[in-house]
Amino acid sequence: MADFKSDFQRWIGLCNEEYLIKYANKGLYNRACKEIEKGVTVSYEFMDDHVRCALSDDSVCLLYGDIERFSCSCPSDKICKHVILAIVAYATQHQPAAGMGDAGDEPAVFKPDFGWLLQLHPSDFLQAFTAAQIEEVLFRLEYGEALEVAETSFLTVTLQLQQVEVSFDQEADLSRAMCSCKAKGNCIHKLECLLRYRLVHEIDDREALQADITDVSYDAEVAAEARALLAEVLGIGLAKLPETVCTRFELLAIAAHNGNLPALEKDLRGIKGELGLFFQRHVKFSQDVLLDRLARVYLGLAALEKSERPELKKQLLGSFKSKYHTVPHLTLYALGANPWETRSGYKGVTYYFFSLADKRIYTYTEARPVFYEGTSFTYATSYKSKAPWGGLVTMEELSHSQVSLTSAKTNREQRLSSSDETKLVVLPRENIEELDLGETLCRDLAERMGEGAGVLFEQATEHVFLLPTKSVLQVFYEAATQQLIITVEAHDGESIPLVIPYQGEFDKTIRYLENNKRLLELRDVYWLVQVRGDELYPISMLQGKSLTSLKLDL
Amino acid sequence: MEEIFAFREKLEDWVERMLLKGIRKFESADLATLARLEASAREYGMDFLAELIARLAEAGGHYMRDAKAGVELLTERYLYMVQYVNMMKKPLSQAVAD
Repeated sequence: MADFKSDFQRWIGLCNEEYLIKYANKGLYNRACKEIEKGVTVSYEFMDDHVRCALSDDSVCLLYGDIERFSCSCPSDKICKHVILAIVAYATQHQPAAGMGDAGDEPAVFKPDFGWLLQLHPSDFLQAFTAAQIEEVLFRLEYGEALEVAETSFLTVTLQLQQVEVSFDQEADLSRAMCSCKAKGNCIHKLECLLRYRLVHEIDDREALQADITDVSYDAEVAAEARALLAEVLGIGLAKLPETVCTRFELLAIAAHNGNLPALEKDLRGIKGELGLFFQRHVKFSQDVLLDRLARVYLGLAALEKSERPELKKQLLGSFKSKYHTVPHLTLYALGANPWETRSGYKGVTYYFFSLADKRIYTYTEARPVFYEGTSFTYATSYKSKAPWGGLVTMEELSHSQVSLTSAKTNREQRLSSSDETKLVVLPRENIEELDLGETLCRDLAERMGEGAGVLFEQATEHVFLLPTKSVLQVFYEAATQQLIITVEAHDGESIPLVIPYQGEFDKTIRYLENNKRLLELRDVYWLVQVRGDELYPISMLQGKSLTSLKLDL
Repeated sequence: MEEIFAFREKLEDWVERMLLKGIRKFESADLATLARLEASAREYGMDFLAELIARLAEAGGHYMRDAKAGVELLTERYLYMVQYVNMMKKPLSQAVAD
């Protein structure tokens, strides 16, 4: 009993105004204090594991030395005025020095300890949170957030950009943590606050969590079969290889899809495509590319068989499609827009943005299938339509501005989603010359051109960057290749051809560019260019605050 | 520099020839070619490559004695060499980025 009494008194030391208000509410707390002022008294009788508090207004409540465990003779099933009154009265009677109602004086008696937050093991998070929550938070951790930590009776972590506040109790129990989002159960803010708090204290759980939530099971039989097929191709040699091998690759690719082997699926199709070119005696066929691929896939499968570490397996397995996650905040600097059309019957406009914080290019794409009859999509109407994220501006305005997005949804390829939750605020646009463009700015063109080579059948990651130039040397239309070539001069004096292939739809634009002498007068312009093969396609020109998307603004 | 370039071409030639004719057709002439390539690699101080070639030749010899048991090892070692040769073609910055 002596133990319980000392535990109880330690707990009472914690029960200051802030603590009680957090668990109950201000109204209840004030009413309890008023009752005491009016003269309600309490007598306490200590039992083995609780204390019986008899109030002079005839109600009786039991306290167990824990804010979540109590009972009261009144009908309320939640924390009531009587319970608060019993706590406050005990604290004022027995610890007058603690100065109830004044949070600042209380540590003399009791200093809460939040060490448990740092002692938690990643496996504890797996129990408390779902894999989806963990995945989302791990994605968010890649983005900065202004963190504020305050220690009072609680340890309160505030995510300032998201305006979310999570308070952790000194009791080592995650379910007792309270979040300002008021969601039931363990919300993702709790996990985000916890992980960010631990990161501040140099505890990085990311790798361990990533490994734990990754599904690395796969169909070993398919992997073995694929390896055997590759060995067969290499064993027989291209000269005597039957064409039916292509069908076997396709069938295995389907099996790989069902066997949770996305990277293998893609590679098998790639090899099939490459072999197809070989059988057609196509000029695009390259022994180098095929060999490189065969070696990479074969040795990758061998490595997969041997590897134990889940994160390595995950890397070898690849992933099907990336999910969209919410990131707290992005400041985006528009870089221009590019209309496109695919052979498979899609039309769309892709908008490019530079993110000032993480120095990467984000894209937003609006696309429509046009293979159905009656579907009309024109670049101009799409360009003039309202932008997502609140519809404050048109896409055209958006593509010339600088904006701040809160709760933006993006995936691992930095593609933005048109989510309704995202809020947009237009900011004053800065000069392109004053931005720290990081890797987005091209410093060595030869190096940039090499990237992404040899990925004929893979879904090529779109490669876009900013090219700073001194002047425009020449503009001419090459009839033989049907393309407009704009030759620009880089700062090191090198002349670089930028190519716009002719498209009927942009006939006017191309003529305008060809005949406009003012283009030759441009100095110190940044070009947003896209690399395709060994050619550079210009998307837009930027200088100071201004921007011109070649195919949409001219 | 030109000598190394010529050596690289010889390596590539052999690797591509094998792709066309098939590893299962590995023969004593290939062993002789590999011995020459290994010697050149040592001459240019490319010891790691020389080691790869030596191990490939070893697997080749093994394969010629016992075709069933040796083909897997031969394939694997051939592909290690393929990767090395491919790496030589790429500029250094890109090889690291890959």
